Amino acid sequence: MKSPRPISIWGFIVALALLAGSLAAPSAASAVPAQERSGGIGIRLVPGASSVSGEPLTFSYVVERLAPGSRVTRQIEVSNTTDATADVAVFPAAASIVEGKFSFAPGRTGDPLSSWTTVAQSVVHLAPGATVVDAVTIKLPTGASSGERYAVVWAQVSAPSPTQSGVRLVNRVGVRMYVSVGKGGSPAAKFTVSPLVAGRSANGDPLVAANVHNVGQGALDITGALTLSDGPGGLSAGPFPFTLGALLAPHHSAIGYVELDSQIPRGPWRADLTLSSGGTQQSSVTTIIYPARIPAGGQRSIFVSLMLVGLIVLMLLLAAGALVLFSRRHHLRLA
Amino acid sequence: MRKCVLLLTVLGAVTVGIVLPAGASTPASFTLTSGTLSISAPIAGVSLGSQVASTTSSVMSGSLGAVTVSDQRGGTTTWTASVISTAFTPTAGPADPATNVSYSAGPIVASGPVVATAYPVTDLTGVVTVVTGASTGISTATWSPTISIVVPANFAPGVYTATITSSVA
Repeated sequence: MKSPRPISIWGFIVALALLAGSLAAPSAASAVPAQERSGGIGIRLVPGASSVSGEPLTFSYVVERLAPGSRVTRQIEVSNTTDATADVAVFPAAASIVEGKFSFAPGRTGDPLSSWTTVAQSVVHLAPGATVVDAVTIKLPTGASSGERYAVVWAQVSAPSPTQSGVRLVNRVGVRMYVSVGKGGSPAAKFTVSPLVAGRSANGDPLVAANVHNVGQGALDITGALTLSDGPGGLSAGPFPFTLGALLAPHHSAIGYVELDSQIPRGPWRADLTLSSGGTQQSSVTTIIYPARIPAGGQRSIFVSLMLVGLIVLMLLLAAGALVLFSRRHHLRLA
Repeated sequence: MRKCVLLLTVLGAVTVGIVLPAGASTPASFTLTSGTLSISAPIAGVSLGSQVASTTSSVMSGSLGAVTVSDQRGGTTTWTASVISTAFTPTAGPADPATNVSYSAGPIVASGPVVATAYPVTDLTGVVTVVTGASTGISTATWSPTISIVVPANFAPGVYTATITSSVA
């Protein structure tokens, strides 16, 4: 008599909970984490055979070594994370290395590499949240001359034309292309590393800088590590990773930095930087001492601390003097 | 005798069966692929305002709306944001050239491990770098640029339009 009621009440509660859970679950599944809802147009390179070379930046850039007359197809994925349908134009355009930096040409300006590159779909119509994979084919003519060529594959969207006066905005995002033309394998990586320089970053942390110069014929993805040894008290530290973050074009140089923790003592240290790219390794060993850290407030705080020290010494002297006088008086009395 | 042979065969088979898998090794690996590099979609039609035509040159400026660059490629990567502007062209009359257009990114709000540096530029005729980012992981950088345009003296009244292209790669 008594038992059916509690069971049925609990059963009702459990059923309610399950119902609430099932209603909540789909909305939880469809909710996009805050940092992904960037509300934009994205482009992603799908890894290909050349990405297996292991160099990290070949996953972000189209890096290929092609003989004249050959072809390769890479896939890119274009995504739309906005709330509206987007018509995205996909096309290759020229790029070059200017003053050591990768520079894009305006609009759809072409260069040899962009003229050898075609995309399967030049306009993709993307619903909100949709992605599409587009194929990018590079086909070299038989007479293509050797050397490194640069281009960018762009995914571009425009705001609708303004009805009133104003500015029409066009935004585009792209994947860089570094294509080395020539027969056989990639040219051997050749680069030099300058002696290391120790300094301090803007926020006072010790850093080590090295200038890397690419003397070979191909763009290099340079990575390595810095090790500190023979430090104060026999300390050693590291290895700390060193990367340049972008491919270094032939005959260009770049300065890379390793920023260290502020706890690292000044030195002297034996700093050993070993860099590698494409199977070639170079290292630079230098004895370094970090410059003195400038305390916040600079000279004024040094003056203040000196004054404080002086005051303390003065007070101690006065106290010592008072103690001597007091004990003498006391001694006389006692005596 | 037969039982012995049978027993030995079975023992031999079992031993081989136990030994072989222990000697064989399976190489395993995993690959982390790159995520996307994205730029925010532009807002529709930006107006820089209006003012009375004048016999002296003046400067008009306005905001282009926020630009967000999200680098989800992972690892140590860099990106460069560049801008180019066309001339501000009226329906009739001389255009205000892009050499008179300046771009200032203003403060950049970074989320995640990225160091974003702004370069104010005063001539948008060619593709000029306005912001560079050095990211060591998944990161986002947002800025609200202001563009200013010098309106030369004695320019005729009218609606002046231009196209500003922002590129990130």
